[in-house]
Order: sequence, then structure tokens, then C-alpha cells
Amino acid sequence: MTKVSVFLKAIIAMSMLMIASQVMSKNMMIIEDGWIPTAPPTMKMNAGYFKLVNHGHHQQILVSASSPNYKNIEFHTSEMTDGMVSMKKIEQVIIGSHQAVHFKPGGLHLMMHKPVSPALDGEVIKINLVFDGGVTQEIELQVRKRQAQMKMQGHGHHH
Amino acid sequence: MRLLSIFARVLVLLSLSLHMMAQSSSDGHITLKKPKPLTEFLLEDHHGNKFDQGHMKGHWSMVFIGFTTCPDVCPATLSNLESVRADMGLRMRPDSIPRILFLAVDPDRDKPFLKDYLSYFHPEYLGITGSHEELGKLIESLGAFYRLDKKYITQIDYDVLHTAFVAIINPDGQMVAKINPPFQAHKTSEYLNNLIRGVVFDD
Repeated sequence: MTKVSVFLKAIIAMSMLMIASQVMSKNMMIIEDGWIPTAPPTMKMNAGYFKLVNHGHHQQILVSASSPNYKNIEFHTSEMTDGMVSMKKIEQVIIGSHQAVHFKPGGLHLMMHKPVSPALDGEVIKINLVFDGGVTQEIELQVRKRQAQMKMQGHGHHH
Repeated sequence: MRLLSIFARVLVLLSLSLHMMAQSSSDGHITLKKPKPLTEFLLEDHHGNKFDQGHMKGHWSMVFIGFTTCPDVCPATLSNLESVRADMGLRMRPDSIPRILFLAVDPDRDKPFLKDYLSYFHPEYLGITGSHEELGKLIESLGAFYRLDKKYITQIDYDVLHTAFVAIINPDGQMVAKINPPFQAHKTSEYLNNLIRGVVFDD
């Protein structure tokens, strides 16, 4: 019984490693929890969210992003100062060695302008990230309802 | 021994002050000392119907200030407020649960999209907008603020700065509280539940 469970754990660990290595880029970056909220079809912009983890020994600088689904993409951050909300454009995002940067609602996010077509629930959108030095990384963000994402993260409803 | 007693006193003081803090602003939510009547204003809802101070009456309402070209904070807030409403649904009768009023403060860009924008999020949300003059009256009455961050007059892709709090209006059309981000569903629902049932927090 224990042997089987150890064996199973080993298999799970190995497959997790394989999954991780598949998405690990040349610059030792891993993307987690990539998603785009569903939005009204008439909306000319949307936000993109994900977690960027730098497993490398060097800091990385994210300098731009693009996608076949959007005309242009910028990095923005929503800020709250003295009870006022505002949005600010960020030129580049620095991810320190063994650090993570979280693009999330109400904070740093991809500001994606002019969708080619409305993002549909469940659809996977490809985004190309460009790092300083020219390394590029294609990431996939899944379109999800905000409520569904909140439930997944477990800080929505408390039933 | 003496040190211990000082330590104990400090602990008592600390817990007392923590307790007082929790009472006056529970999780960043503030109950006004007395209900504040709203000033006269004339706006319209996203169906094109007239909406003035009289239309605030007869419901509990949560008034959220925003704009339709906001892709991050505004939809996230609407989604959080919906979670608050869902949580309240477990505690009280549906007709006591506050409706959501989205006060759109960028009328030039908001007016054409307000109906699509709001009905996408929830068929019962009500979008309110109008001239800057009339918007200003209500905004000031709520103790709120907004500003179109235009660097030059013809700029199209400008940001809109606005107050983050959500104003709570009672069925007499008076403002009674402000709730603040992050609008955590369970805590906010508990606060509103107590507020609506008339449990007093403030001294």
C-alpha cells in the first residue's frame, strides 16, 4: 500500500516537473494562473492577469507584450491614493531573481486595447512577452468569468 | 511583578483601542454619525429614464463611482459587490439586499456603452449618468470626488480618477455609510447586514 502510494507520488512529482519544464522559458520564467476576465462585447479594452515567477539567478525585465487578439498591450497599475483610484502606465516590470510579480485585479495588469474579436468564456488567448535582451515568451491566458476566478482562488463566497 | 502588571495594562489598553477601532470602522467600513439627505440632482438611468434624488428612495442602494472604459478596478468592484450580495442572500430577505447603482462619471464615453456594459454584468444593475454639472451635485453630496485626467482637451485615451468607496443609501434616500475596498464578501455582507438591521456600530 505504502509502496504504491510512494510510487504514485513519484509519478505525480515527475509529471509536475515535466509540466513545469514545458512552460519554463529560456530565461527561467514560469507563468501561473494566467486569465482574462470575460467582458462586455462592446468594451474596447480588457485586463490580463497572471503570475510571473523568475526561477533564474538573474533579474529579468519585462519590456513589452503583444497578441494577435489585441491591437496593442501596455502594462498598467491601478493605484489607490487617499481613497482615490487611478491608473498609471508602467514602462517596464522588473522581476528579481527568485521573485514573483503578480498581475492581478486592482493592481498591476496587462492593459489590452482594441480586441480583434470579443474574448469568449473558455477561450485561450496567446500573449507574447518580450524581456530585456530580446528573449520572448509566449504565454496563454484563459478567458474566465471573474466570479469563477474568485471561487477558484477561494476568497469569493464562504458557504 | 510590577513589570508584569504594566505589561497587563498595556495589553488591556491595546485590546481596548483595537476594539474601538473595529467599532468605528469595521474592516474599513464607516457608518455615518447621522443619515445624510442627498441634494437635488437630475440624471438619467441607462434605460433613458429620469433619475433624481426621489429615485433613491424605496430601496437600499450601493452607489459605486466608475466609468465604462475602466477594465480593471470597475469590473472587479462590480464582481466583488455581486459576491457581497450573494452572501447577503443567505442572511436576509431579497428585498432588503441593496441594489447596485453604477454612477458613470465620464458621460461622453459612458453614455453610448452604459446599457451594454451594465446589462452584461447583471440585468438588475442600474447605470446612472448625466451632465458633469448634475453629476457633480450628487458626487459632492456623497462626499466623493472624480476628475477626468485629460492632459489636453481632445485627448481620447485619458484616465478617470475617482473615489474608491461605495456609498450606502437607505430607503429614505439618505446616505448612511461608506464601504471601502477590498469589499471582502463575507465581512462586507456581515457589516451591511448589521447596518440594515439597525445594529449600531458607532459611538
